[in-house]
Amino acid sequence: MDCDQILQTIYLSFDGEMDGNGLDSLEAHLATCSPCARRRQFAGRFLLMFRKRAARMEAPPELRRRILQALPHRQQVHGA
Amino acid sequence: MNVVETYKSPGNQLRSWDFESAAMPFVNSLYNTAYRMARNSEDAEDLLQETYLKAYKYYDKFQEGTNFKAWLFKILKNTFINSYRKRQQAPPESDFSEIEDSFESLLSEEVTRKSRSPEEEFLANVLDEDIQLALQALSDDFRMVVLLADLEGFSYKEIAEILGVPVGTVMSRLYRGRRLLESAMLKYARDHGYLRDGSPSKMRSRQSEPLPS
Repeated sequence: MDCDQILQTIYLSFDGEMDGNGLDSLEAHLATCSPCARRRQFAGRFLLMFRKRAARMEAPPELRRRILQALPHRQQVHGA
Repeated sequence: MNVVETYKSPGNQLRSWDFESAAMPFVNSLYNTAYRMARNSEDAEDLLQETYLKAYKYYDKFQEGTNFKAWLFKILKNTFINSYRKRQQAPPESDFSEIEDSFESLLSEEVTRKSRSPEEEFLANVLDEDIQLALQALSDDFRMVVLLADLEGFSYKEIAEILGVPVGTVMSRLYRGRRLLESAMLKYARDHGYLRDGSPSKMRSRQSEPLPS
């Protein structure tokens, strides 16, 4: 595995999208290449930070009401 | 009194209530994605309303045992592409190619400082606002995969299904999208003064790689 592709592979491993063999060869590379090991450390912490801190908007209550009211079976109930 | 045209049978009625209890728990997830794709609350609300109506309409086409959340997101994505993308204002231009190698630039700064490493400093100080800005600055294709993977936790396979693209495309878009996020945040960190300037001129910019499709 060469250093140019390693970051993409690191992301695959974070995403749980890598098989055992792939993980083994990734680990083998990281064990002997400290720049890539640091890359992984940073990428991992960056990703955790982003996932934790990217804001999640909540649907406004008024929108929930509108969505429900527009569903045809609701209209039946209210219109009957 | 309203004429009830859609009323068919008690079975359908039951299925309708079933739709509601199956689909409404995803309203916040769908809204968050809608908001981030449409970039304003008015369009996001319309987009969500339309998504729910379509999902309701096609609910009997949904195959039991497959991923319902992914199915809803696919409808959201199609609705966005068909009705909303073209009427949005052009997304803010974001060309971070000059600082593509953001990590390398952090490393290069390190030699000048001893205590906290620049990457630690960056991670500790990055502003909420800059995180949101960086995400909003991604182009639609990159933003969508990042939202689906990192905020919604879909697998590559599910994302491929939602977007109708091969898994390899998901992989490369996600990789590139995350690197662009990183670069954008780093740029804002420097612009806003909480990451000392590591003389951007020193930064290597890679020969422009072909963009993944």
